[in-house]
Amino acid sequence: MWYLNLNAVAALCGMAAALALTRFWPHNKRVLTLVFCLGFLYVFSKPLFAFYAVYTALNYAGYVFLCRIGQRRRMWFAVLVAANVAAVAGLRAHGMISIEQPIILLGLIYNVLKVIDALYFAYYLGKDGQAGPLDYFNFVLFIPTFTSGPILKFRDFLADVKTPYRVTAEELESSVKRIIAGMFKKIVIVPYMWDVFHRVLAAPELNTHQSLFLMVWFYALIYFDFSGYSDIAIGFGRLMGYNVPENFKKPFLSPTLTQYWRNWHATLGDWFRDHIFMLVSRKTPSRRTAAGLSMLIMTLIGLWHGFTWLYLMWGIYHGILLALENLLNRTTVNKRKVSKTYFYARCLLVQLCVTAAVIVYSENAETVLRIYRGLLSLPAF
Amino acid sequence: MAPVVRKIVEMIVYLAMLLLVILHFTGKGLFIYEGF
Repeated sequence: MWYLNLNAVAALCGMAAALALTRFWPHNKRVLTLVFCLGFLYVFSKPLFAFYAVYTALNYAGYVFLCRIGQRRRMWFAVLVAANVAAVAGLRAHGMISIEQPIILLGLIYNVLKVIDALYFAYYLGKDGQAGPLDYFNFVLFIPTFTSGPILKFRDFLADVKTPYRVTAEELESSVKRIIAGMFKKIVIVPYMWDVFHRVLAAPELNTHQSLFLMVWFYALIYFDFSGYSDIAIGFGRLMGYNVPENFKKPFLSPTLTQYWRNWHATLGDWFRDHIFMLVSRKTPSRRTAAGLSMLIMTLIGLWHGFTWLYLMWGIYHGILLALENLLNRTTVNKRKVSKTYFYARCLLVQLCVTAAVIVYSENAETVLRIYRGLLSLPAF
Repeated sequence: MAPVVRKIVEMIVYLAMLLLVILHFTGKGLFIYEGF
């Protein structure tokens, strides 16, 4: 994560300043961004630079091929997507993409989603969807969102690069504030919260109240962590002249899980929904189809986080809840048509459902099971 | 008057957050990729 390194933050600030100083040059945004992205990766790690130079070039070749080919488009599209999925799944299966991942694979699980998105773009638009290498490389290697979300969409990114670099005084102010707020969450709040989490976890035996505390505390921690990162990425993206999409849209005020997954880590849920629904049908699906697809999508999101049975169970758990919402036709609640009490009660229910499972992302399986076991261990009075 | 006061309060809050960020940057254990 670049933003925990002072040199990286200074480099990003310098890049934003360089873009502002060269704003009279119409192509400054596209050319300087690529020079910066490649230079940044090269200085950070030469193996990482070499890996991504080859990875992006190969995928660009596949993308151009898919744009131009006239016959068997569907087959080639499937082959190219499957090759990317298989490569990442293979690395996952061998434990090479994990929290302590080798530096060469940094950000790969996010960047593969961008590469696949560009393949969809090529498949559906054909020759009309072909973009130059400059824009493709910038899209894949965009430093503010390189190591994690928000996940950029190729179509939106191409629309962005066509507009000349322009950052207004209001945007400058809001971006700087966003970066400060994000860093405050990520660098000040999150380490403190981890410290408290580990102190409580250090107890020889966990009781119900301690386990409950850890579950709620970790949920808040993960929110500050992800939303802090997203704030910084959005702020730096804007300072570099690009619009990075919002990732957290008041998720705690979601009255259904369906709405929750459109507001929490929104770009990840959107990516899976868009790309899987598009494969099955481009029309509004029936309740049963939507339920089945929700189940599939959440299971895939679970496995995307890692090939462990805990993540799989997490995916199935959320999939079942979303499928039930679809089958019972309870996917949305209109705030204007229900009482405040009902609305907030539904929001609370959603938060309880999420809190019950989010702890699987905290530490290893042993710790997670210990916390769950602690729920059943009432303190002796 | 109210917008000016709000802006001043906002500035103080953000400067305080920035100061804490800078102080924490000098702490141990935050530089996850040493040598960068």
